[in-house]
Amino acid sequence: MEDSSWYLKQRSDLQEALWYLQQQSRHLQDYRLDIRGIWADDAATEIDRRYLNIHAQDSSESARSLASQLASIVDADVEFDLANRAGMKATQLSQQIDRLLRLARAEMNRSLAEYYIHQERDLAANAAIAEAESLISQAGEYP
Amino acid sequence: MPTYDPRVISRSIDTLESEIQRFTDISSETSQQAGYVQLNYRERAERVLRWSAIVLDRALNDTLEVRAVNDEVDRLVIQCSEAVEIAHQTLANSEHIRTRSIATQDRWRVELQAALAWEARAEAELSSAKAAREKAESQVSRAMHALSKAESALYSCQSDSKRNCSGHQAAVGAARNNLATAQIALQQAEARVRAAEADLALARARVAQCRKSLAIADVAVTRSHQAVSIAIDSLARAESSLSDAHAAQRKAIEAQYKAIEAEELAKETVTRSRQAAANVDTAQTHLYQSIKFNDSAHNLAIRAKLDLDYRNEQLRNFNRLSSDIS
Repeated sequence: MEDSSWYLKQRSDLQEALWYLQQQSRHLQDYRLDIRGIWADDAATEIDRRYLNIHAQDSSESARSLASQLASIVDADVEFDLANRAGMKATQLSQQIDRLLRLARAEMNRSLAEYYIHQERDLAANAAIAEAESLISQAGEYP
Repeated sequence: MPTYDPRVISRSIDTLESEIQRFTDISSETSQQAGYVQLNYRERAERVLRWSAIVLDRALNDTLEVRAVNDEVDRLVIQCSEAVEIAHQTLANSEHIRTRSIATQDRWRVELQAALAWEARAEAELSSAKAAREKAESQVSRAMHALSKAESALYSCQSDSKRNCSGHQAAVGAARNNLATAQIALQQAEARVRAAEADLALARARVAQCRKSLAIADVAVTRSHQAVSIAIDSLARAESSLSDAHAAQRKAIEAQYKAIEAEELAKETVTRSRQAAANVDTAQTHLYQSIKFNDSAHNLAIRAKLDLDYRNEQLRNFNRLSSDIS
């Protein structure tokens, strides 16, 4: 029904982007740890407390939600694939059914044509039998 | 307590801001990409749902159509089976009438031979009777002549009174007896001829009747042969019709099995499509969550940047002041 490779490519690109985002997140958090040795005054603590710690949590949650979105999309792909396979098979069967019904109808038409000829022949045979019967009576069956 | 170099701290803050901005840009891009993917999967789910509904509808229609064809072909098989039985019966009837017509023909042929023999015998008898009558007529004629001659002799004798005519008298008597005997024989011969003629007439009538009946029996045989021939053809047609009906039935049954399988697969297609759509819905929920956290992180990054800029500006001012003092 459809080519799933385009979607798989999109999914793969998103997985890659998420991986890169997580890498970048780790890099940022690593850097934050690094500069604590250089800048650790009250202002730094305050900025961490008010913004950057929460920023790290939200970013992590965002990435986790993206990962969950991807996991659901992977699940959806499995179902799409199964639906596609089942639907394609059903479509193929429908085509086979159509072909079989056409063949069956053709056989039925042939059968009916032969049946009508049989009926006509049967009538003719019975007419000949009746005529022969009448002739035998005329001739006198037992002289 | 550690000592911090303002210039080093300022550079670090610059770098931190850059890293935060870089992360924000990447997370925004990723979020947009996720939204785009989600949109495409949403469209995909809707399209697959529509398609699966079409697949199911087609499978259900196929099932109905297959059922109708099976019903029709079942009726046709019954009809053709009955036709074969009827054709067998017609053939048996035609063979029976053929047997009877041939028997009738044979009997009339035998009867005709007998009648012809009778006619031949009657003709021979008539000829014989006619010959006997001619012979009797000759004898009567001769007896009459002999009587006439004896009577003449008697008259001649009686004209001479001196003669003894008793001999002539006796001769006339004898001649009269002979004539009477000849006349009786003639009457019998004529009766025989009449009887022979009557018998011949009867024989000829019988021959004519036999010929007529035989001719009719000949036609009956011809028609009954035709009846058998037509009945054989009729049976062949009926059997062919049944054979074709069975072939149609086999295909219809095969179609029925496939229709059952196709309907199950179509239902599975719908179930899987719905499950896929549900998974896409779940993905959508996760995406909303992700966007919510991402937006929050983005806002925090903006606010952090403002504070970091302020802090950096203070450090730069402090550094400038220190340089001026030194």
